[in-house]
Amino acid sequence: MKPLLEVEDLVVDIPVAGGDLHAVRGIDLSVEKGETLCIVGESGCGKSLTSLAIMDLLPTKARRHAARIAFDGIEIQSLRPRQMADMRGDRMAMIFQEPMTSLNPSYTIGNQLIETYLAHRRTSTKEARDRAIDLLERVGITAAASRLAHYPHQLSGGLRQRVMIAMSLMCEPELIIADEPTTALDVTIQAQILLLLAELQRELGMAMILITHDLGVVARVADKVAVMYAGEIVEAGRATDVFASPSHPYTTGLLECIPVPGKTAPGARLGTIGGIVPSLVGDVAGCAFRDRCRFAAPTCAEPAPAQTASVGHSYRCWFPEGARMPSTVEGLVHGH
Amino acid sequence: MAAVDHNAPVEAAPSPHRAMLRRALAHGGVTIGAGLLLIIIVMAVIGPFLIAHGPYDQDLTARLVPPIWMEGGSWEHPFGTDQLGRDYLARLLYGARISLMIGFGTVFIAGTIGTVLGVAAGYFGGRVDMVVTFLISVRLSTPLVLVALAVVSIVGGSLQVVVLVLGLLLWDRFAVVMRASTMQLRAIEYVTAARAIGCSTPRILTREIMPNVMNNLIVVTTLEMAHAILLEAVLSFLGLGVKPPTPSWGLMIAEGREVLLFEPWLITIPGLALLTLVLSINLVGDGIRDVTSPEDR
Amino acid sequence: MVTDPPTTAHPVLELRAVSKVYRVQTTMFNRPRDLRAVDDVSLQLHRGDVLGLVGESGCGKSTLSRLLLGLEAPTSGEVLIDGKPMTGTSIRDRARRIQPIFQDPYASLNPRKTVADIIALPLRVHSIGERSDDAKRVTEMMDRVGLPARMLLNYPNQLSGGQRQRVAIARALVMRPEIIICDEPTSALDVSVQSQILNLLMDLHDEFGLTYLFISHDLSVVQHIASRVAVMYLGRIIEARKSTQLFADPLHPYSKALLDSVLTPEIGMGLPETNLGATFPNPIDPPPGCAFHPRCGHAMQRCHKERPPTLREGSDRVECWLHDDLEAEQTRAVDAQRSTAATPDTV
Repeated sequence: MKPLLEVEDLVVDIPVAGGDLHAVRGIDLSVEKGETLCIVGESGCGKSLTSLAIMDLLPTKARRHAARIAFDGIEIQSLRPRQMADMRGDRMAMIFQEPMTSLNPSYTIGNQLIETYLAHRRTSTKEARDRAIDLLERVGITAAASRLAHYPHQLSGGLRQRVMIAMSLMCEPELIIADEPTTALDVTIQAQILLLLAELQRELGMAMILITHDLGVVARVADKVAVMYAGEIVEAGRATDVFASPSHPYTTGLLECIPVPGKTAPGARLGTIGGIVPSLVGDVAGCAFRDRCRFAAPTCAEPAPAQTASVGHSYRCWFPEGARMPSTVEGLVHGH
Repeated sequence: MAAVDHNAPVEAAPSPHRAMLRRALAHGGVTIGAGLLLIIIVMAVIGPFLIAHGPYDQDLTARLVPPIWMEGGSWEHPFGTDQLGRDYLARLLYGARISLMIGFGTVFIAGTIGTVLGVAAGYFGGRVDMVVTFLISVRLSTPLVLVALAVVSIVGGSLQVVVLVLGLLLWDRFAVVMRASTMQLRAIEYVTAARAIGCSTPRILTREIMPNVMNNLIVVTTLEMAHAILLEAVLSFLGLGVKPPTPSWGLMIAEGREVLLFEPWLITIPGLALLTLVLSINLVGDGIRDVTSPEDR
Repeated sequence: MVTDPPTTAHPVLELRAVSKVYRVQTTMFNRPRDLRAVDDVSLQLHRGDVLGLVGESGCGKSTLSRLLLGLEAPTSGEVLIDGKPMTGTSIRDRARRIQPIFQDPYASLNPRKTVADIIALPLRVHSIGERSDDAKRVTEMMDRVGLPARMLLNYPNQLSGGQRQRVAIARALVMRPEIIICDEPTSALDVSVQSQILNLLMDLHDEFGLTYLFISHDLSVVQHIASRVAVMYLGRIIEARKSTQLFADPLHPYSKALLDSVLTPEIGMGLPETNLGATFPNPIDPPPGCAFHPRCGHAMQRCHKERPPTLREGSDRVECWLHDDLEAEQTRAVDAQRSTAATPDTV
């Protein structure tokens, strides 16, 4: 099947004092209809910029180029701003982390929901209003009709995020990009919102790109995973494969950092990844993880090749899993 | 992007002070403004010692001598003389002192009042805040120029009176800005941490709050300084500021008014001086705002 | 770390029926109403305890920590340190024994001060030691928390998030307090940094014999680090038990829902259905009876009207009608026995 979204060699550069910040450094992605791709990584790895680049919502000074960003066969880069705007909210929608700042505080939620619909569909206000009520009910908001008159500040964080989801669904998009949609919410609400997203996705057959730093979320919702580090995808594959046999030293390191009830003994020392993320300003050469890698070798100063762990599961490392030796390279920073 | 700051290696990031200085030097407005201001200050301080004529020395034989760039000008009086034959350059330089004294004196008084009120209101909140907010509203509903005119005409104009009156009138913006920025910091965790350490309130205000609202204070200071200088010029022009023969720029413009049509330079020279001074102060203020704001993020 | 702490005569920190009520003006014309941010909370921390405090945002966790730090005074009830009531003692005296570590290392350090000044501040405020010894004490503390001495004169903006949190920890520990209130100390950090800070906190706990109140919304972290856990809901402690017991067998339906909501990085588990239908109630207008009943799958008639009693067994406690019949008799008997014996109350 042809993927709904195909991204090839996406690069995002941001000019800063002292050169260009290479925030995203040549990544490939593909999402099929009805599929959930999770992009996981720590702050500053470029995961959010990747999503903004796909939506063409990058900050003005950032520069994007890619061999290909194709949505349903349409090359997004060749679209005029007007055409892209028509696409956003209609065929592809976005959900942000902070529902308070992504809803306009001066309009009622009904107003905002209806506007979204009318912007893309030739239809009556009445019809848009009915659809808004229908969707608010679908995302689990009780007394939906009366909620339309509420302003965002009158709703709790969980409700606001539900409204955001309803708004993103107004035009039945084929692709939803959710950037840390549950990070600002309580754990109890997080589970509900993720469940809701998963159900709606199944029901409507949407594709979803979910951006998160939380491997717990990834494990529970992802079909496919892409692990990002310093602007690159260091490991990608089906979620089952990646979690069953994490292959990049960064992925294994991350998983060791998280206490898992029932598996990690309480009070036991947790795994750590020493060192800090390298600066991405100016030229970045070789494997970006090598300064923090237990297995680093002199070869790692060269760009790491892609290795295949299993069908559809690949990672970027000089050494296949069996061939790794504890590092003898000097100058490793540890403990910070 | 958050990526930029936390990923930068430790050695590459300069200290906040040095980073700010670097940004300030790279900022066109700050360098031009500060340069001009420095020149004006230096000229005001040492200028009068360098020229032969005093600002009050009258020479009725040499009245209304045109400046050097006009026909009939001479190096004896590069900027010419006024109706009483006083050297215009000497008066101009001396007037710079007056303007600067008005500016600095006023913001010193107004800044102290406004900062104390604003920081107190922002930090303590509650009743203190209610009282200060009320005072600010009262002050904002007072017509500035009218009150200044009235007071000066009752008490009589002099440099001290003008400074005092303006100082007591121009504190509102200090109070508003300091109140808002202190309020933002009151709940920030390093202030809570200082309280949990057991720091006294004065210590928290001076060590934790003040250094972090300083940027805003400096910006308001420059704006109000320019404001005060212009107001003094207005008062003096209306004859209710500093008393003649003190060479205030406003007064010089007023005195030149009578011969505006025949000797326009009597007005343009002090007018340009006023414009340059106020512009340079505003450039510095705007620049500091530009330079410091990204740092707080 | 999960082993039982040695029992001393007095708990190092104790809250007895502590409440904090705020007057809230909801709209301009309504009469101000009471918000019970902390409602009748009794807790004990023994030396070496790590008490995990969990609950949703708005449940009163942060107010509780502010009460313990002396930043606010309780409306009723008392806080005792080493068996002595804290009422009347100054925030300065309290500061030497209780110190906080905050969530956001970007907001908890004054950007205008150097690392050395930040860590030395408590020493100066309390005039501990000679000023000339400050540098030594500070570098020693920095070394303990894993900060190289070359960072002494750096400013916070020159440090990473993890390094900043280490500075905050050093500042909290430099006076050698007994109790540390950790308010979400790792929530703002990246996963790889979070584990480093947790390891550090566990090491320091053992090294200095510290007692932690560990406030967190991350139950995996709490299970990992805490010896006891208290679950808070709308200002009340609705369950407090040994960590191992609570995580193995939560008694309160809310505790169970919280545990079920934890998303561990394990594949094939799917998403939990917590059935916590409604959202967190408005603390100004709490539901009658058991405050949790609108969200509870087990709510009975009684839960709508009467607030469940606090059932105690040793230092364990739970507030739920489901467990009333089982344990109430026994608990009441124990309580009666205790009050006649006039032994120190161990809630």
